[in-house]
Amino acid sequence: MFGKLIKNEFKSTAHSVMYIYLAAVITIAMMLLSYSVKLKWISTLSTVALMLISVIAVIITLVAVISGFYKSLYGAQGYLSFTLPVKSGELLASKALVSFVWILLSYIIAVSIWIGIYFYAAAKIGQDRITAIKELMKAFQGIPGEKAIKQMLIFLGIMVFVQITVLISQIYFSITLANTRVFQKYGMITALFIFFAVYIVMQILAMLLTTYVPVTLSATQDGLAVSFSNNMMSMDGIAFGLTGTVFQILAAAGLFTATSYLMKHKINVK
Amino acid sequence: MSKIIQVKNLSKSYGSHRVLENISFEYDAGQCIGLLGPNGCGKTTLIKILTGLINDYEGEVLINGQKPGVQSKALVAYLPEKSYLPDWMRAVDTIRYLSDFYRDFDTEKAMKMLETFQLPAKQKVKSMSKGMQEKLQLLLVVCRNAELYILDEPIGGVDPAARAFILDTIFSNLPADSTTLISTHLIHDVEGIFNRALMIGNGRILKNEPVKNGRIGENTIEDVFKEVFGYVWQVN
Repeated sequence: MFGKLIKNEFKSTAHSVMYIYLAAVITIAMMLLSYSVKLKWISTLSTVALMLISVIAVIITLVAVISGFYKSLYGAQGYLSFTLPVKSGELLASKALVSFVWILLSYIIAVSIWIGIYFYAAAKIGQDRITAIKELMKAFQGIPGEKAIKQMLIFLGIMVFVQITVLISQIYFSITLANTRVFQKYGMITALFIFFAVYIVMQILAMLLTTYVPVTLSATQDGLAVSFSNNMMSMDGIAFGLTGTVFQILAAAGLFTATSYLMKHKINVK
Repeated sequence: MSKIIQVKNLSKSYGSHRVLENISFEYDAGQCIGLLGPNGCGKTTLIKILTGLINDYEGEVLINGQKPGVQSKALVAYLPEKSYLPDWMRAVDTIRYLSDFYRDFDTEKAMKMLETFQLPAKQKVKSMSKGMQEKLQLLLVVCRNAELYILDEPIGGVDPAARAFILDTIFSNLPADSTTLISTHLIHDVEGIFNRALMIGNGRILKNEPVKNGRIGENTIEDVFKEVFGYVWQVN
């Protein structure tokens, strides 16, 4: 059943987001065409269009995630969703997983577009960015080392995954709580207030935990290592806070659990 | 053999407003039950509890011996009062969707009924008229081989010819041994169909009687309804 939920969730959400990705593909094709026919105005126009598309893709994806979750569960479609013979946890997990994929895809497209434009622009004025980066690393005398940089990139990738998951958990919890009997009468604007309240509280708690429980990941010459200092820069290397990240993972798990509980026990589809 | 529906001491409140007050009833399988009452009496709330849409209530509710949940939802075919299909789906997509989740869904029958109802398979729900959407939702319900059919106001808001068509579609397509619970306040069109009449008023059961040939005892259901709910309105 979980596989079917995911399949149908992809079908449902694709309608909202696919046009912007189609626009991105067409624009990239136009850019590539402009290189071969050497038409400067097309490559300039395509560059500007891609920059806009990269931002719009992220916004449209987030809007689709929010409106899709609300409409499919707390609009009239809720009569269909909540009477399916599936557990509320499975229903929630399928939506979260599909939303995660779409948001990650939008981030990848946005970052790829900007990196592509950066290297393209640098090459146009005769600059070799890759050589420049290597020279910069030499200037830092190998701190952090190449191994550490690779590990950092993996860690940053994991951080992006965590941040997307946290964002989804906050959105889902806010919308669900706003649709319980206590808040339903105030309308959907309540979800916005709940979201910001949850976000701010989580940020404050993460900051406090980072200050008083300073567990960090330091990027040194030999790779990443766990340390118990809250100095972000030291002679050993660059440090990344771990406490806040662990807290956010646990908090996201808590928010998903709370959302599932509310969906099962406290929601009345209107 | 367990009862298809068992409700014991069920109460439900929305804040300080008591919608259902300590109601109890049970039914054997194979019956056609009329859930009757004026607007706002608690019919839809009761239906939402039976279908698992509402889970915070007091008392006990069992569908075929199980609490409303994953197993009971697989046995129940529910037709809500409002349109609930996603706008972007085409008629054929709705059939595929239901066949994905309900093992008892008859896809072949559904595709044939699309033709009978003159509903284009590739037309999107958002471009269908209200009548077409209602036909499509009705089709999706009657193409299930469920044990319990719960229909909330299936003939509300339609003309008499459409009412006859809907009722004929329902009763010519449902399995003979299935149970049907129909909520309505249009008594006259359906009183000949019921085996049982469950009348709810002010959140309480006012009548729960067997029906024979459209009559409760010597009176028509409609006459009993007027007598019962005339009293309720006086109390209110």
